Amino acid sequence: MMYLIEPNSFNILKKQYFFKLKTNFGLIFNLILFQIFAIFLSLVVKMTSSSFGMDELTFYVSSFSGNIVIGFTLIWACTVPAILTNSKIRNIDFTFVSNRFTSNISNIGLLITLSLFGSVTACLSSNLIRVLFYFISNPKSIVNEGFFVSPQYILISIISTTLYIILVMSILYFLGLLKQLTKVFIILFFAIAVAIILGFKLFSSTINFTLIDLINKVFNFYKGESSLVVFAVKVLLTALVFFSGATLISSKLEVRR
Amino acid sequence: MTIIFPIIIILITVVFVLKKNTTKLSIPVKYKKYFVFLYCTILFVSTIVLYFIPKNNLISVKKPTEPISKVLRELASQDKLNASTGLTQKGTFIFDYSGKTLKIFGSSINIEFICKRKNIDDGKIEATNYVGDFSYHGFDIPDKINPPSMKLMKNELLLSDNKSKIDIKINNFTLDFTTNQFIKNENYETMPLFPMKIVYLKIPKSLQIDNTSCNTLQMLN
Repeated sequence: MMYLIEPNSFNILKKQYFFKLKTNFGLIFNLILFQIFAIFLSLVVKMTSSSFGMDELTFYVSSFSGNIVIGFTLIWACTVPAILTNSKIRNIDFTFVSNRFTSNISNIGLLITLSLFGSVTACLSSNLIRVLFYFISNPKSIVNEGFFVSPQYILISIISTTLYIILVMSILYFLGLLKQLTKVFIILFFAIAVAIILGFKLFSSTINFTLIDLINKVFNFYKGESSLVVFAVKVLLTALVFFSGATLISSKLEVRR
Repeated sequence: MTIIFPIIIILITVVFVLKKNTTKLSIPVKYKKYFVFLYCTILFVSTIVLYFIPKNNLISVKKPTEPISKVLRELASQDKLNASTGLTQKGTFIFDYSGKTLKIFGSSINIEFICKRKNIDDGKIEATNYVGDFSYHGFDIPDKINPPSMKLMKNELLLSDNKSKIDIKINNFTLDFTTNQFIKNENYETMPLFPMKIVYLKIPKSLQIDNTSCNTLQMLN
């Protein structure tokens, strides 16, 4: 075979990654739109509002936080893998020197970069909400405690939000590629999930098991973890399984499928 | 149900974004980049500004302290109510009284009466009002609570709870759920109780007190 430049996987990966980062700038723009909407929503919608009245005193307590922005960032995270695994977007890869492996790794790199950007902006927007609230409302009604967020709490928030976004993106990236392989696999995937739940219900009379219970258990596996290190291990292992699964599936795909 | 509702919202949003993605929005990339840069700058500036907001402008939170009611009698007998940090003085009334007996009428169970005989017969009844520490979410409000009103009519001292109608609005910021999950939060929340109102009476040495109409009266001597 004759070639002027010897192809190098790392160089191809790097080129693909930067190319994808540039061409998918619209995803970052979408994220910002999502977050701006969530910031305005956070200023208007109180997370919890309670009033407590006695004979002579009535308290109206409203709670605010950056949870809405993080929630909207997670929703945005659901849309990103769906767009990246879209066959139109994936076919662009074939214009360049690439294979399935480099294509997937560059996609995963892009997803991780986007999740880091999403989490940093989501966590900092929580500070923006506090500053905006301070200037538009009466400061004498704001409780000091919880208003000022220490830098280490911001760092914890950035790390854990990044992990949550990676988790969501890895699952949906896997499902997105599964859908590309064949629609039958999606049906099969859900059929297996339903079969497991029904199996539990049929063969274990002592376990009162419903779909909601299963979702709650899976949710609590991550949300109930109070150690950041253990949480990181759980999320990264899950993401590794789903990203590896996605890479494996895409190697089975025909060209331009 | 609580988990189904967010899932439905997520699905609707995802479908909407994916549909929108097929119809190209014609905003030049250059403007998109400016917009993203501006947004990031605002975020970083707001983070810096947050640390420059003076803490004194906000409501300060303090941890709930030991209720004063436990040591109230002891403090009163030593005449040290004024020195107590858990009480706020709300004014003193002095009545001239030359009668032999005094009947006390208290209209509210929220008012605690402590009565101490002086060493002399000076013909004066001194009544000092106090309000105990009262906080909700660590937000101290004894200054907002009205003291009971007092009237001396013939041989009767009438005390009624002068209730203040106060609406207190508190805006509380909490940490994001992604932070809360990994830190042990100190909980300052205390259930609001009725504010403790105390009337400390100093009466002449030989004055007899009829407390049949007042259940919350404590005689010190």
